[in-house]
Amino acid sequence: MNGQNDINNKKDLFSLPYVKDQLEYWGPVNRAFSDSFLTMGHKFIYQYFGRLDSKYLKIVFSSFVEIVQNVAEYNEGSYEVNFPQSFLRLRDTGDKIVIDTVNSIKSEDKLEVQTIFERVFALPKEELQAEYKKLLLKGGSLGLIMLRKLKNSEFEYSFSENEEGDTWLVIELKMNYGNT
Amino acid sequence: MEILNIEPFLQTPEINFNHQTGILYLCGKSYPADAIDFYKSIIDWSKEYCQNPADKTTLICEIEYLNSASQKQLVELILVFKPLFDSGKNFKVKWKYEEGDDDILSVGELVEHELEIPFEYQEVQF
Repeated sequence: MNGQNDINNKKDLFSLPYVKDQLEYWGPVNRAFSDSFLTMGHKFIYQYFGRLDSKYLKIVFSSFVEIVQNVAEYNEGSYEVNFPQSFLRLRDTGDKIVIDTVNSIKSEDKLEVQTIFERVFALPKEELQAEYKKLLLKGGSLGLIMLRKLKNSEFEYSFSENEEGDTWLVIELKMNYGNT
Repeated sequence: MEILNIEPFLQTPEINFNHQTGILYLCGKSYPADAIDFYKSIIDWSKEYCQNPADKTTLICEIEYLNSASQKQLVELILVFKPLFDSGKNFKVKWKYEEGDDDILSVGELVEHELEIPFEYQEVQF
């Protein structure tokens, strides 16, 4: 029995949720973990979505890298140890590939993170390239701009709070098939 | 000074920088989570190389994947060679990208335009 079947059988046995063609993780995420997870993600994307255009898959993988590394980067910068639980998921809906992440944001960081997102999302499309150039040459985080520049896709974010007052940043990127 | 040779790994490219021939070769995927750490030794080596460069220097970047952090580090690396080019030394960048990969092509074009360093472009297959 191979590893994947073993996992699937255990999920069936314990009635755990199982969705085909989906990569999902819930746990601590730091830089070292993100490197391993993305290597696995690369293999997963080309194994399960190999029927799709290779240019599209490259865009999917590049986007996945930026999103996962943003989570890892925030966690490394904000927590010395005991990295918080983060959720990472890459799934296929039949006409698009969707990347979802949820990660804990310290309450003192919420305003700053929110301001960064609001500023990037407020930029008109025609100003994205100029902003990208500025950040590439003069410093600053490029990942969000690269994601906003994607064609034929939807990128959404929101902040939510649970009963304990923890803040979570929720990101969803939907990339339609044929996005090249 | 010694040849800088770094074997490719899962998220990092092969590096072969030869101070004797002036051929500086970077090839493969570059998406390490800590790109600053990975590129530090390469940038340091390049700064030392520029003190006593070969007659002709060619930086060959043959890139399959490039995350945003690596893009910035590549700009930092190319910037190291800018004074070399500006002082009249023979320096150019060969920018090789996967066929149809307009994103990596446009990174090269942007850097070429902004830093005013000559780039040669070539489509390749990985």
